[in-house]
Amino acid sequence: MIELSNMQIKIQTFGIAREICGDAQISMLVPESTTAGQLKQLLTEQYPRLGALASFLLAVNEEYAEPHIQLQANDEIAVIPPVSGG
Amino acid sequence: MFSQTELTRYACQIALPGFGEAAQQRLKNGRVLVVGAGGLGCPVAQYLVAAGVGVVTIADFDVVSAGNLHRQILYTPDDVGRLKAQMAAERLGRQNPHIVVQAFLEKLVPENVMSLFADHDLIVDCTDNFEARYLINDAAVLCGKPVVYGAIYQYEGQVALWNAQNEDGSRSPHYRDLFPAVDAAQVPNCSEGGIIPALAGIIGCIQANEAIKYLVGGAHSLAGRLLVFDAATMQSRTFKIGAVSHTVVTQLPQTEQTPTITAGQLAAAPDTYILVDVRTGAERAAFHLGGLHIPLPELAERWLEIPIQQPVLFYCASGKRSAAAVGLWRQLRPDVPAFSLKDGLNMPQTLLKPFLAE
Repeated sequence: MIELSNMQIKIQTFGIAREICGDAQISMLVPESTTAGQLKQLLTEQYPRLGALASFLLAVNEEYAEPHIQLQANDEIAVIPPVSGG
Repeated sequence: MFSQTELTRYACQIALPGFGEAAQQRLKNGRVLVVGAGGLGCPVAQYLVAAGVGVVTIADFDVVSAGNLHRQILYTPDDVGRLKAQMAAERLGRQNPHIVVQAFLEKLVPENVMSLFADHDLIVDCTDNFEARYLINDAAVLCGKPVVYGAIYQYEGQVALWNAQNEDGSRSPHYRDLFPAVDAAQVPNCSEGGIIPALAGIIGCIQANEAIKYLVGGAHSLAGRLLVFDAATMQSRTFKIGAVSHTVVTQLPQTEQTPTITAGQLAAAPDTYILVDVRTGAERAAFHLGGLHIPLPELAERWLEIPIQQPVLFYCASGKRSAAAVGLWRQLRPDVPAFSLKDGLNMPQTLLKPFLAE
């Protein structure tokens, strides 16, 4: 059995996600092989109100992250929620 | 062909490298629909009109309220209670007499959106609610029109160009590629979350700039990208969202009509309803109509506090949050009738008096 170590990742939050997560930048400890799709799931478990939005955008290195993308420790990760005001 | 007056008016943009009279003519041939004449719609319409877009249609069914004036800079205190689109079209028509500025005063609904879009080349989404944004997006995808999207919240704004045609005939991503669905009750709007006024101008001007670039055929549009701007830190980031849309739209969203009660109906029979104020604590502290206070984001957890022996009447500042509350209530207690106070607390003082006297 292969032991997977954890990695610390930093996530920038925008809009209402900043209020939900409590800060403009949050840190999370995730297994090294975590994908963007899995991170989305982890985020909605840790912050149920993110899940309640029904959808939010996860970007990695300033690019929309397909769910299968594998994250690296120094990736720039961003959580961008929908915004309605005008 | 342009008159001498027009050439003088547009001289400084015609002089731009790569612009010239040809680009000015493309602007004049352009027909743009600006949906929403609020914080974003004011600067968008102002610049499109000033720059000489041939037809600018301003669509809004709402009236000016005093709380709009800090960021909706086309209006004066005398306009409070008047139709925004009508005021904006009148004023901007004088700003540029060489083009057509017109108002569309109905609410955009599935029944009128397709024919309205058919008359325009480009749609600018300056609305303030998700229901309108999804309707605009889906209608635009169905009829193949690009949308310059803009949205603001507190210090932060987003801009993108949706559904633009790529060189191979495919279309750039649209709103549903990023946000397939949203629970509107979970995202505060301007009156709940607040808005820094000049941000509306900044984001609106970026939208106007994208619209002009699109019409004149300029490169480097925001198609396939989402711009996020933070007015507090002055950081702007552009996220790549892919070149091609993968989300198919087959029909317009079906809007459910929210049952409403007018202020007059309420004043005539105030004891008929259980009143529930769904605004924030700060808004309630300023003044209220009585009844229970459950802010909209807490309704899903606290709805059991509401007595069910009488019909429930939700109210907020404008009628938007209370409509969302009715939508939620219908899922929780479909057997107990619920209504939204039409136009919220935007009611004549004479109707408010009986409540304030309490």
